[in-house]
Amino acid sequence: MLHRVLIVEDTASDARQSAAVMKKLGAEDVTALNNIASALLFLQDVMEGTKEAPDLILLDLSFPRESGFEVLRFWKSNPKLQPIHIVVWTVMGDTEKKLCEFFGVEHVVPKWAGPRELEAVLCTFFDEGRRDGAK
Amino acid sequence: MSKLPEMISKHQEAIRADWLKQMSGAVRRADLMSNEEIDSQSRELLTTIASGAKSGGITNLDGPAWTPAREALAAISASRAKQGFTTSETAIFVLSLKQPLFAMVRKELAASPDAVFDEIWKATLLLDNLALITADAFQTTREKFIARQQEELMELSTPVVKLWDGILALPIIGTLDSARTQVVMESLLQAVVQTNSRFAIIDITGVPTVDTLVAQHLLKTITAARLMGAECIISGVRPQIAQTIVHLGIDLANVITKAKLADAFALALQRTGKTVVAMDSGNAKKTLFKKEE
Repeated sequence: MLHRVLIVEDTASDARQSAAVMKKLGAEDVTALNNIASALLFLQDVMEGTKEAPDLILLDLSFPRESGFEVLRFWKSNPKLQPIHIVVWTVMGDTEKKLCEFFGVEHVVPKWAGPRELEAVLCTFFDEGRRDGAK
Repeated sequence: MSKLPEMISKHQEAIRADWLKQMSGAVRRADLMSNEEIDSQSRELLTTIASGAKSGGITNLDGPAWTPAREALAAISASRAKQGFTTSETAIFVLSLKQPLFAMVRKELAASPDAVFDEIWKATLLLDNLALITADAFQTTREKFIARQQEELMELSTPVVKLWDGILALPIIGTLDSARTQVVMESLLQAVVQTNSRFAIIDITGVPTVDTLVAQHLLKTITAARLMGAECIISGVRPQIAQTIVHLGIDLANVITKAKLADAFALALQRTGKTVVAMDSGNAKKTLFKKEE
């Protein structure tokens, strides 16, 4: 079961929508951050042990200043953060999708596919969590 | 109906002995292969030819009856291509079968000169066809070689070097085409992720010419790297290339360019908040002296 979820998203409506999907699937602790700087600070705290690590991060890539790749960089370069699942949810181009592959992010969901598609992808994580929990 | 298949099967050993004698004069390359190898290859080939001729006829070598012979020939040619034989040396291996075959035909059909001529003509066609198969197989093997070497060369020619923590260099040597730029781009982005680098210096000192297409490829690479949070600096822009770029109207306004790799490195160091400082000679001596004590 995935308890803690971090949403990094600057569009308020998208953040609301995805949070609703997470809650529906059974997430208990959903945090949403609307900029990269606070997301990085959050992860820094996780590294230092002052905050509990989320089980999953739902990440948007396009932000007005720094891009979501900064979060991917931080995640990739810190082995301690590797157990966190990452799902990229963004207005995708093929380039971004390809770049995500370099970071080893397998789950890239285009926003235009709607919340159903997002739910379908997230379902696999929640199901996996459930199976693990049942063991 | 040709008597050739029957004659080949009947006198197979005699033909082979004669053939080996022929070869020892013409194409034996003792430095490249042993007698035993030639012996077994000739036996295998002649057996498959005999069976092919017997069941498939001697005019059409494309049928299934000739498959073993074709495969044997292809295997022999491929191994010779690898061993370093030339094309003619490989072809002569088959062509030198002509003389023993003709001699056998003459001996067998001594009574009727017309039949001799007829059979010899058929034997010639057969061997020419076999020689063509040999040459084709030889060529294919060589081409595979070259293709593999090209691939290896491509991989070797795009090294990504870590200059300092967070600074990568990518020296490009030789002409850039679409395929190569793809490799360059992928290895650069891969390295950016792996080393978590902030700067990548693309050095084009070794690139002879830059055209619109190459420039576009470079710009694409730079955009992709920038998306990932790494800034690219292009260095090694020679005067001629600078002129070409201006002449073609390529817009490099958003890209940092430097004439020398050293300048680009210095800039990258500066941007990452580092400087290179000359060691004070007095201090250096002192440390050295202390150590000796």
